[in-house]
Amino acid sequence: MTAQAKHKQRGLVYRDLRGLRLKVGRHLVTILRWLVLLELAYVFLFPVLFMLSTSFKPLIELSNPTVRWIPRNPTADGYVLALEHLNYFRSLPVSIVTSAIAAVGQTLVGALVGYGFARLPFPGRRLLFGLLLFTIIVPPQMVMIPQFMLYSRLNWMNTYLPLLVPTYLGFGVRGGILLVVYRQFFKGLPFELEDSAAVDGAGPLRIFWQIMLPLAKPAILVVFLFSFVWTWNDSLGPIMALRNQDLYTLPQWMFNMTRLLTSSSFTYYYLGENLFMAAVTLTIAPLLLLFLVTQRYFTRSIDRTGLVE
Amino acid sequence: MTFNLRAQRAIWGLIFISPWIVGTALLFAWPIMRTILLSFQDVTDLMNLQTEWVGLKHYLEIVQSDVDFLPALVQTLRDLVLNVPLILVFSMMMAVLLQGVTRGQLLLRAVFFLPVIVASGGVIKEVIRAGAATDMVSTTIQTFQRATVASDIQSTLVVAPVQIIVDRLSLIIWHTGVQILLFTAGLNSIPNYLYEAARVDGASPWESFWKITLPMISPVIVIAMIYTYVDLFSDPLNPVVEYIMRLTFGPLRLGFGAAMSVVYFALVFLLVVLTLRMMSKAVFHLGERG
Repeated sequence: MTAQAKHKQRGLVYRDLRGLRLKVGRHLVTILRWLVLLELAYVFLFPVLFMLSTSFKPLIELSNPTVRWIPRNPTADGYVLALEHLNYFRSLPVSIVTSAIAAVGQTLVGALVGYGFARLPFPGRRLLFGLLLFTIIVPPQMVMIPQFMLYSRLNWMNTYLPLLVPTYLGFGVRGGILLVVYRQFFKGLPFELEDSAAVDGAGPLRIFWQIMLPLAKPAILVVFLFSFVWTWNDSLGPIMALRNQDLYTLPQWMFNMTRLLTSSSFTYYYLGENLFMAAVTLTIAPLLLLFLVTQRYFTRSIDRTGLVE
Repeated sequence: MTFNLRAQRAIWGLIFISPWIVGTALLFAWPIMRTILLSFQDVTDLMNLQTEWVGLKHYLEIVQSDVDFLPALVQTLRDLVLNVPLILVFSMMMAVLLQGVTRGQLLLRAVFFLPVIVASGGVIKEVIRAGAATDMVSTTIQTFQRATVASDIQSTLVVAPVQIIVDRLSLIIWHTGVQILLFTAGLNSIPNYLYEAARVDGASPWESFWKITLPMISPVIVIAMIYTYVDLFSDPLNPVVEYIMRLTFGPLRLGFGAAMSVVYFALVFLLVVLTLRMMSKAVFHLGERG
């Protein structure tokens, strides 16, 4: 055998070994990847599972370390009490309606504004967009007090208007971010559609309404969901605007309940853990439901919003 | 003709954004000026909002006599500087891990997004107080303590840093949902041919991560970073915000509260601008972007 052939053979063996190593390596990577992901999924699910499990535990089992996940004698006591404390049948409709109206406003007006910023060149557009970005990074606590001075001058205190009207001006909870979502989405659409419609004589409003908006379904879904969830969970606005208990939103009742129970003795608070967890579960149950129903479209939509352009 | 069309579109553009302009004027521009003004004033009559000019009094108080604000501010800013990169790296790693999963990716993404739904508000406070986070954290710490004590190492030396990381871990969980989504979307938008070409040229996955993935998603990093900043510094749980709210609504010291929020915002703004400047040099743009 010549030196050259020897060299070649060694190369072949090396290649085989390398292929084998790659194959084993790939399987190992897959297994490792799944292990890490499952572990992390457990960590992420932990709070929700903990919440559900605790809410069904009877008082005795709360302090029993041998009962970890599944209550031995599950009870709905916590829920019965929580329904009452949260004033659930009154505050649930309030929260659903206000969040829905706010989310619709943010979704519709946001689309208009986002489209304007993305596709209609007007003087000062760059400057105004810079201003929009600036509004995002200003903490809401900084502008809140003058805002509510304005609302009280308008006699909007103890009404839902301070929570709803801003969304129709693109200023809902974290509204600025949602406007940017729309703008990025519309920027990613091809110009040809508008051009051909414009040649056919359609005005900007018609183009927006009949061509662009139907295409914007992914962005609409994402914005609606975020806006709904953020409005629902917002505590600042309702606490400032609504002093009258009859008007309270669901999270407000939850804070109320917490304040009430934590101010009394520590033991009561500790023993009431199942009540707390039942209350939290009831407060976010509608959001969980909404997310479960839409999550398939939602996670796909995020890919197509062009948020990452 | 073309001029008319352009003028028409400009006018329509202004009409389209007019709701936002009204909103900005009433709900942003005026309030922010009022807050700045208020920081130089004392409210003498709350009902009729009578104010009197006190000059720099509140700012001097922040620097000279208030003992709680500056430490809270320092702690919040330090947390921001530490947590933002941690959250970004963690969510990017999650997204990269998810990327290799073909079956069940959507389901896993939904799981990782769950905390955003559950906890964007005060609800998280209850869950944490009830022990959902600390339970997990303390078991981990106990495990570490047992391990370190058993091997007779000076336990505090090892445990302290671990504890800090574990403490932050629970925070990270609550703040990565949106970022993971952003990064997965970003990774999905990288054209496959880049990876194929690199593989043909003999690049390892490790190399193609640093040479392809990272530059391609660098614009996403900027977006995720801004989102993380906003998410963290307006968080009602962070010490400065908590302190400002307490003083504003407890003793109703609106002027002092305004001065504190002006200082807080100025520093946060500086921080964001600085990091953006540093980042903008590193961001890679493929082809032309609008």
